[in-house]
Amino acid sequence: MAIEKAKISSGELFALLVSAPVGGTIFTIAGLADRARADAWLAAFAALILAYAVSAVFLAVRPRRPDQSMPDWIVEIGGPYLGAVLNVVYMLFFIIMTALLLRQVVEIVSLAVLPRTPRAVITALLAICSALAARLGIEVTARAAQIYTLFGSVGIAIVLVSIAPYADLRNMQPVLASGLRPVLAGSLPTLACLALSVASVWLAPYVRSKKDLVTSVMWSTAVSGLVIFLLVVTSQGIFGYRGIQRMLVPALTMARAVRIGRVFERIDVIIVGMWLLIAFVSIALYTYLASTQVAWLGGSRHYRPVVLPLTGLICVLSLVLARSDAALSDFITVGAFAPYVLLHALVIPLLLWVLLKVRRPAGPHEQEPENGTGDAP
Amino acid sequence: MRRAALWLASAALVLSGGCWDRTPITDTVIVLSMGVDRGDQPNTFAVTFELINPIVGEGTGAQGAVLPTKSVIVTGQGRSLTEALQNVQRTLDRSLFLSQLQTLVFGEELAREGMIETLDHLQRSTQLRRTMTVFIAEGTARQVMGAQPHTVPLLGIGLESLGFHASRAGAITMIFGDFLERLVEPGSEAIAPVIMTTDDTSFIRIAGIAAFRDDRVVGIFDLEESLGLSLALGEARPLTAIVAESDWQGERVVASFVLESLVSQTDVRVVDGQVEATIRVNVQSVLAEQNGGGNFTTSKEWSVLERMQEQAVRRAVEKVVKRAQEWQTDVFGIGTLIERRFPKVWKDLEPRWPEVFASMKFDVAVASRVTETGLIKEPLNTRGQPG
Repeated sequence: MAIEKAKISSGELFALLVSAPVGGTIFTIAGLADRARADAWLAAFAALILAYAVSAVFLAVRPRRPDQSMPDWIVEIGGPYLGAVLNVVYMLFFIIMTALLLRQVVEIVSLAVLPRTPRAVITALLAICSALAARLGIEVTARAAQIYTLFGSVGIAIVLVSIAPYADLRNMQPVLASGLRPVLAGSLPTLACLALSVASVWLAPYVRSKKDLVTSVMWSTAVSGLVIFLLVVTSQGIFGYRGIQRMLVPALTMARAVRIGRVFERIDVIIVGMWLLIAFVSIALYTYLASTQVAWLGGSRHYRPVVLPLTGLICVLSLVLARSDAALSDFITVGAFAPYVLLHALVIPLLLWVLLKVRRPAGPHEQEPENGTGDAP
Repeated sequence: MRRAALWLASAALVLSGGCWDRTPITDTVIVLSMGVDRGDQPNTFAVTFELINPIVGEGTGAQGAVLPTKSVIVTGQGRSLTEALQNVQRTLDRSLFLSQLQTLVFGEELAREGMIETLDHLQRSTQLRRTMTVFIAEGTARQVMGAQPHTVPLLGIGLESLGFHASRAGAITMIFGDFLERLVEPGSEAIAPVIMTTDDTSFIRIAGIAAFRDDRVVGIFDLEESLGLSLALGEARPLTAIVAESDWQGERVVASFVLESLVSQTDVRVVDGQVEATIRVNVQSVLAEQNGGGNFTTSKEWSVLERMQEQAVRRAVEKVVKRAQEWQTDVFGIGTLIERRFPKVWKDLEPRWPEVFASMKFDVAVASRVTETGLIKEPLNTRGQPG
């Protein structure tokens, strides 16, 4: 059974799923240039293509009954022991990802807007807002996501449109000078970001139909991938790949470089503000997922009492996760971030898919509601 | 009760935290321009700031806004830029506000010795931006920043405008971000406009373009070479004047053209292991002035004007190519083009690129068009004689 009675539309799910990759991609652009060098833009494109393969894998193990939660389904596939272990693993994943998303936002806010404000204060303020949103339930978060994604899109569009004329597309050359391997290696952090839409299978019970789920995942992957691709092409066109390699946060530097005529400039705080709304949704979503997973493991059908204590834990984890912004950037671009995310978005779903094929759990499969509401018969 | 306590605690957290990053305008001085020179002691830097106090206004701006009309020049020295900046701060009762910094001026002596040690802080600081205009000062930055231009009340605003209009005056506009990209690209060298003060320090003028090799200035292109460089790079903007001089039937003719549009492209090729390049410049302009010669604005003689312009452009471009090769500084970014088109060849050439650049073959191809003659058809000095 799903942990709360809620329904979200495909548009709302799309907005929720877009938030995590776009909100969390802020450090990964430098990672693309670190490994793929001048092929950074190709690596971003490769990440988009590979993200579809990863999506196909985790969508293949989505819950089969409309009202079934993912933790229940994992137990059904893996059995009580392996199922419990995997649910603990996913609980840790959601907690760590929430902390990581939170830390990224805090670093950007600290770097671009509030350099003297203690990080703990920014962390607490953002985490409390996200926790309050998560406590209100997935429907509220999803509706906020729809509005905030619109604001965020405006911010990203302003940056891209105003800075694109300065981009020199010749900076995309040489193409594949070092072969395909650096391209694939460089694409991994971005692929990991796009694979954060693995959250969709936890939201499956709230979606009206299987088709809505698949459509939302496909569209969110396409849009997030395209946004990342355009950001990479533009920043590489302006700074060159060597310029990106030296930057901690190329997307922020790009926002700071916006200058239209000699009048319209220094708009980075507005851009960061708009992006912050998307990032807030991603933190609220992952706080919600972490809380529901903890509640499920505790055998409770009430996740709300868990949210605030868990947020406290996430705040601390977020602060101690990395010693500095450079260490955080290293962790995301060349460190364990990509393998860690792909373990949960690709490897474990693959294992579940194999078990699904081998064990074939009992019960109705691929049951679609006749009335389209998704209510259990 | 518990819910109310929670809300109260949350509200207290939000409201009582205050703002650590507040910057009251009464506690700040705005830095408009910054100069960097070699310090008096070995291994030190001198930093010169032009400061304005935002609350001591005298002039009147738009809609009655009170604007400051005077700036203050202060200097500090230190082993690093940060230390020099702190030494300036020690002399002030307000904190330096660098976010409005518009212009960076590097002294020639420092620029000739190497600037790399001064650039780290400028990139790292979150207050500074890549859109700042960069200049090299003939002499020292301090001297140039001591000038009192008659046309603008504040030096920083004047310098920023000068930088912006440089690409209309036969030079180039160089922002800090682009300057850095050129500096780190192994296949291209940095350039920056050079400024100097007139003898009575009442004006600052553009004196050419400084050419770098790595982080050191190796030479300064004169005004004709600077025009050639801005045309070759496609950086010259409309209103740039191209002055052509020629001999016509034993008479000296000077024709001036005003640039209307410019398309430039550099092609590189590798022939028998040797790198060659062609700089193509396509200029379209308006006849602004003609002194001497006949009436060239007839359809029969129109090509004379276009040929004169072509020769002037070719001469300027060939001159800057020759000078750049002499200084072994690839200001055209030929190395970067080779890296893009022939990455394997570039790997071999990269370690000895300055020498290869100095001896490579260049072709200059100019396409010249003159489209307008202004309000008159014939030059004034033909005295009624047909051209």
